[in-house]
Amino acid sequence: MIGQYLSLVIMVLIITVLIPVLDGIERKFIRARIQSRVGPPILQTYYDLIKLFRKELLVPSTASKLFIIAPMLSFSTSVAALFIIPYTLSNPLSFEGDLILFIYLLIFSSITALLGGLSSGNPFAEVSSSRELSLLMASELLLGLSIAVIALKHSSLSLSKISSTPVITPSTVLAYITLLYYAFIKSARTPYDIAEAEPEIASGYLIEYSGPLLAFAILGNLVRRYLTTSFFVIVSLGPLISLITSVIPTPIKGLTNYVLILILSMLTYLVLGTASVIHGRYRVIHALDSVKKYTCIPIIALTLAIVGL
Amino acid sequence: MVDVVKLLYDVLGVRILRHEVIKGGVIIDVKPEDLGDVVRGITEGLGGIYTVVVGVDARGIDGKYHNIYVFSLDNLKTYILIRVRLSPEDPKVESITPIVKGANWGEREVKDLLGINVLGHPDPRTLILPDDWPSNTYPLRKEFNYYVRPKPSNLGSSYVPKRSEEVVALPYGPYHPLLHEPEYFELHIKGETVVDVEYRGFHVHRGIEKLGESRLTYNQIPFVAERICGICGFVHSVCYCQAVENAAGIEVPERALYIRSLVLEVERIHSHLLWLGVACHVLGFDTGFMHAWRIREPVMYLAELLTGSRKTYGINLVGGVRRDVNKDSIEKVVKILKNVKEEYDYFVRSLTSVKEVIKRLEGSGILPKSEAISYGVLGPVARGSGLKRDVRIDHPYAAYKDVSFKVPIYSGCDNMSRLMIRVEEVYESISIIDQLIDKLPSGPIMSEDVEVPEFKEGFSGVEAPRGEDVHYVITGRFSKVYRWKVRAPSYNNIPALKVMLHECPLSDAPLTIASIDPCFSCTDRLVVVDVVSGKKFKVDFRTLARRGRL
Amino acid sequence: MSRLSWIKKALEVGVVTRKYPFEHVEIPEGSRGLPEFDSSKCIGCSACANVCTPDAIRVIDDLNEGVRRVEYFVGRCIFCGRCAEVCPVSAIKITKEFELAYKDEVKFIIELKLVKCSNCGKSFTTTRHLNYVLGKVGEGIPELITLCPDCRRKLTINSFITPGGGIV
Repeated sequence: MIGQYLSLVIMVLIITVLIPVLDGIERKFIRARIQSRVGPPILQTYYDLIKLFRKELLVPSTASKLFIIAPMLSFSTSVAALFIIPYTLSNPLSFEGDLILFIYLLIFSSITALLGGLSSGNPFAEVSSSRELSLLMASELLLGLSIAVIALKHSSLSLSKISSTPVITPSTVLAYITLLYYAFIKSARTPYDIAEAEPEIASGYLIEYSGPLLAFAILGNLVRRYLTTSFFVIVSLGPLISLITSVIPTPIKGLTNYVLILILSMLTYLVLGTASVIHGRYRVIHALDSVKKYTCIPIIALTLAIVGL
Repeated sequence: MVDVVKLLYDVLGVRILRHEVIKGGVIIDVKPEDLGDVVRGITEGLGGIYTVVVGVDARGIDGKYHNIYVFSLDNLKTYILIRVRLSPEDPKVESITPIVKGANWGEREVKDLLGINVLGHPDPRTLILPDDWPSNTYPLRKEFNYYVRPKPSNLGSSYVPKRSEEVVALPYGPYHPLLHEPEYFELHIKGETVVDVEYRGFHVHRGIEKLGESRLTYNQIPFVAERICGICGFVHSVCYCQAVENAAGIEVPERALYIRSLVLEVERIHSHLLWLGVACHVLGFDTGFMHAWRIREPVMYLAELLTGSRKTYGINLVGGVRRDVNKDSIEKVVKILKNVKEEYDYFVRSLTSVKEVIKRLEGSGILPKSEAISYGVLGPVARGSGLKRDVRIDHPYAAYKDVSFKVPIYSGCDNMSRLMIRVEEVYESISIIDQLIDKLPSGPIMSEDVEVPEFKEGFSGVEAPRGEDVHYVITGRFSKVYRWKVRAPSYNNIPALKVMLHECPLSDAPLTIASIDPCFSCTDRLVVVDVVSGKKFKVDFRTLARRGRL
Repeated sequence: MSRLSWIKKALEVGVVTRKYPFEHVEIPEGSRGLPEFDSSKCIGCSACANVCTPDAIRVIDDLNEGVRRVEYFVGRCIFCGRCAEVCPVSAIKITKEFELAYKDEVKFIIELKLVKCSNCGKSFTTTRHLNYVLGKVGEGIPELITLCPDCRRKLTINSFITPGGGIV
């Protein structure tokens, strides 16, 4: 029992340590190389975060207490969501409704990030947060619809069951594709980095953050970015992975599962990164339009799921 | 030329006290009371477009102040300079801004720097001088010594921010990631739409005009003129040399004219590539930014090959150029340009695949044609609104009469038109360079006779990448210049932002500002005010830090 | 053209950043860098100082010690190369050197002996400049060579006034 919990903590710790390195790899080998430049060292994100933790914390006088709490909440809930993912096919924390818990933590993490910006009192942050909220509402609809399809087809709300039973039908395939698109939107990279648009609104909701709080805010963003990608992998490729690991001998079955999930998540993360580099930033209206147009896919998926396909 | 003079007398009659024909233009003297009628006659009667207002402390010449209003008659290839002479004790003149919107800044500048009172100006706030400049101290007057740094007076600003319930004022500047130079745009937004914009610039004054008048000689000024701008410096250097050459009647040898045009076009290419990169960056497409500047790098190398320096070329002197191009360089030029053209072609075609960028450019930042004429906008901004204005054709200079090229005109009036114009101009520039190299005549590169007589006026315009750049020169004594006026194209373009940003969605605001390709270094080139060193508060660090956080 | 054209181009071009200063970067010929002064050739005529726009070259006469110092301060230099153009004895050469960071304020100084007027004792030019001019015009008029311009003028006028005397 204790062993299971311990191994879960270790697995989550490894992921949390790897996330900044993953970001570094994206910055150097994807972003920079496509732009024909050398790029920062792979550990640069670490250097940035460590530097930020050493800097002075300045809180604007117009900010409320939420300003200070929000980034830390955002980071901690996103890490909490990491604990629920079934890496080894049997998570000690899993229960029948943990899919809902996962979604809840994910959305809570996104909203607290924005609320922090809104409570700073800076007009740039207000503008950016309002943009991000409209995008949030549009994109969460995609999430909700695809989750509905998946839960329906699996007849279960448990992440462990969903990620270990393969259900390949037209509706679930469409739902998986929607989840990939959702991961792309939520990753707050171009073209959807509307909230953080540096040239336009001077970093938007992050503008008043400095020092350790900024580090937490950035960490929260990074973990969320990984989370959404990993969620897609777990739900869509998880059954496939568990099929592969079923032929592996028992002692390292869980470990292989974990490693495969990790590798596939990282690959998907980098693919999304590549897609982002060749896009320009959407104007808010265009972004909402594109999400709106795409929503027909999960709606079709849901209809198909209801009729049994 | 004779046609123009006759035309002027036909339209203005006895209002012209006297006229003088100079190279490229006609100066007419009128009485201050007749100014409004004369301006109306030129703009409405002859279709002249506002160019610049120059104030001169001419008390050393004829004991008066001069105010010169310059208009361009594009179809007749002439500049019309209207001069009024004002009394030295109380120089004042009626504002022409109600008639010509573009004269707004010019008149405020003359008031700030020379103390010429402009009556009836709709917006008489200080334009250039900082808020703590002592009153009745006019930097461009001859008694104000170049080395003087006046003590600051009490801070009082004529700029009062407008605030209201629904409108949020979003400050862009003086420091902002979008802006490359310090300037201050206050965007008043309602929701996501910009309803008004307040601009305050001139943070980067360097006293270049005063510098030119005080401690520099004729042939030293081109080097300073080149440093007016970080991108289009050579344009200023050529324009100044042309103005002095016009004033003194110096004939520049043909080869020198060709070399000047060649380098001007190289500058145009690198400036437009820079702008394309910046536009991509503003739109969030950093990959385009990086690649545009990657393509630009060989052009900078090319400039260094031709002139000896990547940016401040330093090849212009009054009367010609001081450095020749040899056959080796020419071969390398042709090779490098071929590569640049290929890469550029690929870049432009790839850019059309990035649909987000294209969609954001279309339909944003509209400047209707009537407003464009009224504000006297220049360059791609004017041509994007359907105005056929290009100094290379309207007032030909250097070797442009010997080459054939197209000037792209678009009537879309939006950001997309301005981008398309700049994209096409690069192709045209490459073609012009090829033609120039082909036809390069042999001969000297510096005129034999470079004597500059005293107190002669010269005026010249050059098509910078951003529009028409004009210099006005009155030659002086002891190899010095008596008055040197620089008007960069962004000076006329920035006031038009008020129209372009009206009812514009916020996300398009930075793009619109960037689309006029503002070169604030060029625009802010007047008096140096060392406010920073004057304002030495004795506060401890804590107080300063706390004040900075508010 | 599709979006992937950007990736294709990046793969084709690779990384364009040069590892300067750990990698040699080619500077084209004729690129203007630091001027090099040859103190053996300089005659102290001040043509370079006259033409220098930012006053990076200054010529200061130290009358106590009887020397003329030509001072070049690289901090103000704009590397226009005008000094090399106008130097009558080609004592200035423009090199391609552009890596010029120094810890201290470095000035390059040429010291030249001044000639004293044999009449009034005022210093008016350097010995080298005088010899240079003599080299061009021949021996010159012996009475006038060692006089400063004021004394020379006075002597010449006097020679006109005094009948049959002095220089022609």
